[in-house]
Amino acid sequence: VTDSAELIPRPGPAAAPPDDPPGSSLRAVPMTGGVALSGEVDMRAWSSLEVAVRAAIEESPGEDVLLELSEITFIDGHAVGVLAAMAGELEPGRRLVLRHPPWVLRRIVETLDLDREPALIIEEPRAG
Amino acid sequence: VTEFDHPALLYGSLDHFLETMVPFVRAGVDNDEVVFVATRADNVDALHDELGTGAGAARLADTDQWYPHPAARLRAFHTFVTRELNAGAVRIRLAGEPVWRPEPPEFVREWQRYESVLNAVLEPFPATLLCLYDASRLDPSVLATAHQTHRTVHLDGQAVASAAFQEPDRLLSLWNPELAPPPPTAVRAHTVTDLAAARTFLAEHALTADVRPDRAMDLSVAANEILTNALIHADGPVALWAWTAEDRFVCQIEDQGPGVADPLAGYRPPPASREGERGLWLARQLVDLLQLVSADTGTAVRLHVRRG
Repeated sequence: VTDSAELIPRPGPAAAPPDDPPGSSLRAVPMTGGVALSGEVDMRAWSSLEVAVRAAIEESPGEDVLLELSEITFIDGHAVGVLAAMAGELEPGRRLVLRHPPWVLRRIVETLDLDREPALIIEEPRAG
Repeated sequence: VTEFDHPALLYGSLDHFLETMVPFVRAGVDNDEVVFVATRADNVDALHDELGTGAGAARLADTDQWYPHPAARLRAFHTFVTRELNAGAVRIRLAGEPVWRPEPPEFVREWQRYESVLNAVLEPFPATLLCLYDASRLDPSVLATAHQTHRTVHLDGQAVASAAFQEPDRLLSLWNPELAPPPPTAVRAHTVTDLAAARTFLAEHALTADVRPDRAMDLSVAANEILTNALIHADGPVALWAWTAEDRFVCQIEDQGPGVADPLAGYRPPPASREGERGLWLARQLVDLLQLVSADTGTAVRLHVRRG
């Protein structure tokens, strides 16, 4: 065995790329039509988030992409900006649907005027 | 006229206010401009009565109710102008009265900084913004700043080019705050490399200090943005302090990074804001006051939210 690291189960989600610093609490579980995310999205989870959402976008070509965010407890401005940018890059007719986002996400979308992005949809936001 | 025009009106009485504002609104309506005025409630009533049906589609608002916070007001004006121009307006005609309250001097200063920033932020747009100053009530030191933040000042019925005017980047540098060190009562966070722990530290201390839960959350989101910038750009350690100061809860983030050279950083609305500035814009919007002092040896950012 030359590469013993391959045999050791990696902690965290398979989608987490090696360039996120340790300690990211973001978890991504693929689901029909999208991905369910949980945890906190700060700078340690930026690339994990992008990888997970990009995978979901490629998984269902031509369709809306659903992000189930009911278990997300924090997200920062950069991460919300990344989601809006990815929504803007979808082919015409496709949308990125953010379901059950935390209150902080709505606050950031509104403050950064990201609600001008027509392909970014917010569904059933949470109060907390 | 396609350029941005940003004069100030120093009115000495209600009559003087109406003498300027009635023709100002009527001319806008006659030119098919979009007209919006935010002024004190008593001025709104008087202007409304005087204009009668001549108000046309002009909108009047109570300045104490219409985004009465400098950063929010800046964003509201910018959103108003861009939305109306996108909807087909040829020119926008605005008048706005800053909200002068009996507040600590750094809060008053922030309105003055915002008055200066408007020169830069609305500069690309075909718009007029007439800023209203009640010369009969305001402190002479406040009136003096109107001459520094506006190229033209309407005084005693005459428009005069202001010799005291300074470009926003210059004026904001002159008006940079001097921040005393955190007081002895300040609590320092053990670690800030764990952002989740830093957010919890701030939210808990803010709640203990009777900050409303939604404002405690705003503060921790804002501080997270500043800490993120510091952790990305700073070489050395990053420090986080929190304390209470009378009716406010305050936190301060210090880094030893290369500093923020642009005095207007975080004042430009997205998407015009540069990469890396978006966090600072967000933070300025979310707290009651953000103060930033920067040198090439490091940066200190102080965030204030009201208690209760």
